[in-house]
Amino acid sequence: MEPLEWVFVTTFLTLVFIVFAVNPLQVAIGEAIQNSAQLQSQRLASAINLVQSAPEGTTFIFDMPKLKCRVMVTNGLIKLTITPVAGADISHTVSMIKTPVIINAGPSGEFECRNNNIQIRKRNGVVEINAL
Amino acid sequence: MKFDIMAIVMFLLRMGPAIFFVLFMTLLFFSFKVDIRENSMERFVFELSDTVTSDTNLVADKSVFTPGKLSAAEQVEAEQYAQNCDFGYQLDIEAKSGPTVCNADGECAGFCGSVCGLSTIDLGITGNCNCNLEIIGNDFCECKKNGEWQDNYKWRLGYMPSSIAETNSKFPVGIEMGDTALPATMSITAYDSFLTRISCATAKAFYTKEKFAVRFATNQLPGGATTFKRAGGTHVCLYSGSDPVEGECRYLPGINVGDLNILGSLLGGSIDSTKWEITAYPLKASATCPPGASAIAGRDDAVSSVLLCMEAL
Repeated sequence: MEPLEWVFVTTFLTLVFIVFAVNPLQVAIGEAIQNSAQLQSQRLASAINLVQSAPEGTTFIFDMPKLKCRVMVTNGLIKLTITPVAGADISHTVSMIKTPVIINAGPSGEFECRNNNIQIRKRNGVVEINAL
Repeated sequence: MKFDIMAIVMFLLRMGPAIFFVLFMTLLFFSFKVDIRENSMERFVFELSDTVTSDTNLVADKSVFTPGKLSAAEQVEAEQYAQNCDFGYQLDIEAKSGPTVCNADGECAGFCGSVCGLSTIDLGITGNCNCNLEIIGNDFCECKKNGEWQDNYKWRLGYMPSSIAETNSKFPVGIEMGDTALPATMSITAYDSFLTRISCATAKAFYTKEKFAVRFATNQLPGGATTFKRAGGTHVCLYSGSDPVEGECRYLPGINVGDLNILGSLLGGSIDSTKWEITAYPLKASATCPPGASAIAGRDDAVSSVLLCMEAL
């Protein structure tokens, strides 16, 4: 083949790889983030930390991972437990910044993830966490 | 049909680079893996900055610290204002303006009251508040804080024990001075240490009713630490014999934790063990290491205490 034909073939093959590879890679990254108990619990801890020090009335909607999991908020700790399709539960516990600000996460402090979002709201000096 | 070997070989040779390219791209594709890293300690520093600069126990307005409140905060454990179980921290707040120029001791009373939190000011070099005479340059105010002369608007909250890892960031803040504010820098150093790990595992076991394990190498142990135990009241400390190791205490109220004999475990383990694991068990009934299943608290049980067990890996 002539050099120009080689360039054409190589470019074509590269484009084919990019088109077919990028999308699965993006999905893989998204899945990895969604399925990471560590990362999701850190995200929630960050959101609560920021609302704690925010002005009165600040509200944050936390979108929960779209999978079977539950979150427990208790005594400055967040425990997120993911139940995978196969295999044992994966859980991770992270700590929030504990301040004199009261955090009210309801009587049990537990929330299911699937089809749920969490509203974190600062009202009358108390951070209220509710399922939406 | 004529079977021409030469033609096939020539075709493969010509196609070689393309085949190689395809194989190379395939290799790249299948060697791809997602590696998620979260810089949790760095994130903590920024969130702590937000917490501290809006804490009314320390500031007059957002990011503007009040000298009197800082001096009062220096006298108490900083973690009582803001605590993260996973990491400890030290805060340094220092004005950028440098020393306060003076001509006589009497001009330094305000400086001494603000910086050193002195309720009784004793002017002069033999007292606790002084205008320091300089042969070259301006004279400046200084006051005695914890037995040492200090010549700048600066405060330190928290403490910095021996750490396994640490990170530091600086933030612009102000120090309230009458109707105005002095430009200052707040430096936050967060750290991960043996003490933070063991105390946090204790808290996590107590509140989540699950056992937590902490792994560490022998060289990560603070020098001289022989025991981890409650120091009475609200703190837990590392002890060297019967005395707490300097700076190795943490605010951890309301948790009944059994003493951990670190030295005894080290001596009782294999002589060449360099890696160890401490497991914190939430107990519903008293037990010794390793606790039986009947003594470990379940999801619906009340946790009466936390038992720490140390073993070589």
